[in-house]
Amino acid sequence: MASATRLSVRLRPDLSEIERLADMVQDYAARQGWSPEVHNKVRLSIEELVANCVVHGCARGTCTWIAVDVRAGADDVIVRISDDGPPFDPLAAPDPSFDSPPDQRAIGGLGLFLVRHLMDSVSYKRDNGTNSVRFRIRLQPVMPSPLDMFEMDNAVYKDDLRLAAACLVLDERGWKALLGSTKPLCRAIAHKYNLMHEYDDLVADFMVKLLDGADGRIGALRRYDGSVKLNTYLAVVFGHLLIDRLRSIKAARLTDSDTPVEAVADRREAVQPSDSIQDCPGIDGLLHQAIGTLSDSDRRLLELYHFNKLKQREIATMLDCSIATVSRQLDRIHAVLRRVLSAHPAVMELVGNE
Amino acid sequence: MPLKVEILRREPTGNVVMLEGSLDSNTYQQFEKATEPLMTSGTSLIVLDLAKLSYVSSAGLRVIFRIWKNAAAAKYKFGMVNLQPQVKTVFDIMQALPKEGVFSSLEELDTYLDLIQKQEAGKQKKAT
Repeated sequence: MASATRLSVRLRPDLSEIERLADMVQDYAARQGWSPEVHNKVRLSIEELVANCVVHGCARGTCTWIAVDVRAGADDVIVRISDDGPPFDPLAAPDPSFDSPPDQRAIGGLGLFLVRHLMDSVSYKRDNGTNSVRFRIRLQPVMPSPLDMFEMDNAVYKDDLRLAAACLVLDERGWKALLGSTKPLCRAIAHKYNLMHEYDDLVADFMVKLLDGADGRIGALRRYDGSVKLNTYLAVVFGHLLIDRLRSIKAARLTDSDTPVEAVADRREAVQPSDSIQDCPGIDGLLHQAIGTLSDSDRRLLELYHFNKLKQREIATMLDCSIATVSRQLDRIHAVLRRVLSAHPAVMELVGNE
Repeated sequence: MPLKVEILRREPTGNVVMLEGSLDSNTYQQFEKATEPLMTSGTSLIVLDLAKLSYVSSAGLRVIFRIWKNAAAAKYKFGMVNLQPQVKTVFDIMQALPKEGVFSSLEELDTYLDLIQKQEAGKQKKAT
């Protein structure tokens, strides 16, 4: 039987019960939020005492049950192990000798030595025909603040590629570090898009997009190659998610108002820039050629500005840089495109008219 | 948690024993049974790879110590690699890590064995 702060279990005096007990302690440890270190200490001490009871205590007479009771408090964990076997004080056993090298020592007494070493206090009493061993483990008195933990995690994962790799193998500290650094940025972007009311859902979708490979796509984290800062990369991924969401909202609104699908298509076509240029023969190929000369990051910027129709201010937020930087980069990209396209007479004419 | 024991031959006559899971009162006999034949097989080396061993209790330690103690009599070298923190803590408490024979990886072990082999070859050359 287990409650929020207590685990009580009665076992048969048999070593095979230890596996069942270990599973219960593991579940209890997870519910209490124990560190792996505390969990390991408690599990090891319980196993050593129960095994000792079965092998040495119960072997010397009749024993029908062993009871384990674990109580977790705010500052400590108290464990009591009792049995109805003949009187047996496990703490009276002498420590093993460490005078000789390990490969020459007698093998014995290791378990109880471990218990005495791991516990902050341990005691034995015989009462009403029952042996009872009680031990206590103090929990860490001061927990680091969330901010300290974030900084500690970041210190471990200074390298973006290492952080991405840690997240892919579902390393808990890695995820904490990633969320700690990405959430404020996601929040800022969602705020800009006026999507704060569904922010939690969006972040959940974002996490799935980062990891998911189930539907044939490869998770975004798996594609990360370290060529840009991880934060920037994730901001772009999150940005795309929000743009998709906005498009679906917009489409849903148009459908709701009984607007014919053709009309939606017409509106989209209406925002296509420079129809006259697109109509010019050979201009498509030239444009593709011009865009092909750009770097990946330039193409991404172009896409955000011209195709996703984001404002420079919004792009700056997404890419975690200043508006001036975005503006400068767009000027440079336009200059490159203009240079390539200027070979076409129709473009020359249009540019000249600007 | 169950225990998985896998034994890999390592040329020319060595053996790497890979342990995964929990080495405790319930599983130590399985480990003992798997390694017993190795100790009498004329092996030159027994290495325990503990990369995936998440837990060890005194019952498991006793089997490990037995393999280690037997090394001198049966003339094989004994080593351990990839000890995880929670397992290393137990060995530390027991003051029981071999001074020569604990390696952070199999590559480090190979380097060590190459060195030993060269030293042995040098001794034989001198003797002849």
